[in-house]
Amino acid sequence: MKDNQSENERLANLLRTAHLSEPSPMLKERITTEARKTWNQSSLELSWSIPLRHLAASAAAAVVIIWLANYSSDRALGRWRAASIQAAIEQSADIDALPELPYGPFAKRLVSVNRRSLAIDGSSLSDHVAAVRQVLDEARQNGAPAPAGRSRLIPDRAGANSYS
Amino acid sequence: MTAPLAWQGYILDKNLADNQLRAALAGNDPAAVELIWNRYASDLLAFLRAVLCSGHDAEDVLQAVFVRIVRKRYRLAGARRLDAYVYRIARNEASRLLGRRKRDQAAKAMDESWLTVPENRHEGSDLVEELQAALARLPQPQREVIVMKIYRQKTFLEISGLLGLSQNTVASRYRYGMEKLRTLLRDLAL
Repeated sequence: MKDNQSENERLANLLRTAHLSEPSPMLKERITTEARKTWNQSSLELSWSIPLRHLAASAAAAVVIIWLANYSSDRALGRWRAASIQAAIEQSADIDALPELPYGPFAKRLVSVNRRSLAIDGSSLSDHVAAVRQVLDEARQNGAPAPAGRSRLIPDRAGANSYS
Repeated sequence: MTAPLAWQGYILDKNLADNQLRAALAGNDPAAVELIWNRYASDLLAFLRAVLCSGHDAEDVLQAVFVRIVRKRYRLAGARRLDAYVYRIARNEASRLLGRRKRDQAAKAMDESWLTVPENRHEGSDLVEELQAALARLPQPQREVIVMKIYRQKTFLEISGLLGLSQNTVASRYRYGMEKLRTLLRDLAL
């Protein structure tokens, strides 16, 4: 072990008989001049490219956030929509059928989505209510026991106008 | 007791230089170029000579490194370790040149002199050539460590920080490199 160390020391001393020269002043001049030139060029580029990059990044982030919000909202609401009511929702709300809107395509799309969720056909809704009522009446006629926590809005067997 | 104090002074000086450089880079001050030169040029040139085994190529790559540092100055200003980042840039630029060399099959660089004889010693040019040839036959990672340790007086701790390696790795590279050099230089005055 000690032999190795002393041999390494001797070898290191031998290696030190040569040396690595320092960079010459000419090399310094050449490299620093080139670096300064690059500095000035890139300063000009950076002065407009950084805000532009920030703007582009912000716009991209906003689009992604809005898309994700729409997507998650659609998914969350989809679970709560009854199939029959879903059928009653007006499906048309075509984007191209909204010429009066003074917005761009993206805003039109947002508005159409809102309209789609609000526009419910009245006759379909009344059909749905009639169908529900019919199911309840049939259940009553078949003598099915009323659930313990049944709704107070369902008419009593005694009369349609009296409520329990 | 003086050695640790001197060492602490050296570390403080280095940190001060790095902080000045960081401030200049962050403030978009072109004086940073001079600061980078004073702080890193000698060490980087030695490192690049060790990697490339060529004086001219090392100088060209050093220029490319400076240009790259200037382009990445904002990132450099925020780097956790300025010196390690600079060495990483140097290593990448050197690797690029080595890749080009491989593609062009140009092995001419190995013949070129990159170690020099001190001016007061005229008899040693043959010895220097042999040393240079032996160093060139070492694997690049071992050569890097040996050159930084012997010719730039870096400690294993410093080298490990600069190259992003563990101290044990650096020490073993040095040891294996020296063993190989001993074999290669057996006929010389050892």
